[in-house]
Amino acid sequence: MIENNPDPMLPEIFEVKRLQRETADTFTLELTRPGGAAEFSFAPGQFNMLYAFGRGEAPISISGAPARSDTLVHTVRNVGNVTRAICKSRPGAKLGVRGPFGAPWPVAEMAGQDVVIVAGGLGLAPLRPAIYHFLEHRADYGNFELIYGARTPADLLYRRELERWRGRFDFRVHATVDTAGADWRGGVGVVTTVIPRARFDPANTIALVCGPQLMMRYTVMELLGRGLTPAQIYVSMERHMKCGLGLCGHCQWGPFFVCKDGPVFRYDTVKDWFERREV
Amino acid sequence: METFEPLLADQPFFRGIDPSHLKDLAACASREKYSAGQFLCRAEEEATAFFLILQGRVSIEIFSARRGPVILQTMGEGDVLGWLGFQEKPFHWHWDARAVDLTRVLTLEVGCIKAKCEADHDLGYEIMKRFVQSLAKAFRERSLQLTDMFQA
Repeated sequence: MIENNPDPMLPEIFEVKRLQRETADTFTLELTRPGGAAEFSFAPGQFNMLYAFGRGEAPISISGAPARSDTLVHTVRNVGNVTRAICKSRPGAKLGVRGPFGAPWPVAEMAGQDVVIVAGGLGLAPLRPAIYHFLEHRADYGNFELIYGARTPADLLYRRELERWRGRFDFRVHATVDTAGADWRGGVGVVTTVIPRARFDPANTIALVCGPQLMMRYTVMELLGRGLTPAQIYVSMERHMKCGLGLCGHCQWGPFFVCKDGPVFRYDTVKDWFERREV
Repeated sequence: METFEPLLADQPFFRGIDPSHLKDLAACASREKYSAGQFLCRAEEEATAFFLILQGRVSIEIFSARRGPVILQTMGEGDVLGWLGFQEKPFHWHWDARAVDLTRVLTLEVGCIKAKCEADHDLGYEIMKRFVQSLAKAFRERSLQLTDMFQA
């Protein structure tokens, strides 16, 4: 096994093995180390800095299975110069990778608990490694509910995988969109409307939440309304991360550096900062 | 003959209501079943009933000539579809409601409930409290939906 790059400031060259369109502006890239099978270890919820040469770096969550570490998987939305260049990469193209960085989802500590995952839009990407982990160790966890919301059916990530997961008997998948035509068979309504129907024991549940901040705010309110305490909820925050090491200060959020102390935070540790408008 | 009192008592909408009111409400209730694709109500029709969804899913749709049916919301078990129009003139549905799956509902006849509420204002107050809560929840949900939280 080759260890991850020991110098966190030095990008390592990876090669694009496969590129798959997820939605109109979002792509999933599979990267490998050139020249063969080499593993890349990471924990669910961590991110890498992806470097499009000549354009710059962007922080992108790792969205592949932790157990399948010969391939590094990232889901990228084309929203700026760097992500546009990354999304235009073709198989064989080279990208720089620094990482993995950040605090992960506490998947091991969640053993014995019910699991509720609430994802919105691209927020499913950083949660997917955690989902793979829970499914791989399914017997270690109680009820498992995945609630996923997007703007329209065309904006749902990993559509085939969602359908496959929905066919399993050992966890429940709720997909809901804000608006849809009559051919859509899933739910219509914001993700918060699904939470009252989720099956879990509030005293023995951990919830993982990732999505737009507004969605997370109302999701947390609903989860607290169902009886969870702030210490039973984890959120993944997004800020302008640059160095990945808590040195440059770009991602400072009150007393935290999101790249180092987060992106995953236990809600009770950040709730005083969650709705501050000045930060 | 089936009595609907236990079934009504079990519905989130009526949870905690005084048992004496349940008897009045049960007199206005009936069971109905809708196959997938069947309409519970259509826009412009007079709203003579509202529904408590016992099982299944219902999509609330508006029809646009350009886009066809557009789903505004889906409802499921425990949800209330429709409401009591307390104004004098007949109330009409503003949208279509279509069963997505096989759907079982308790149908509550509006005229009957209104008469019971007029005769017993305590019951009327209980019903109004519940509808106000239900409307406030629907209003919060629609506001979030309109916000477009996923805008990049």
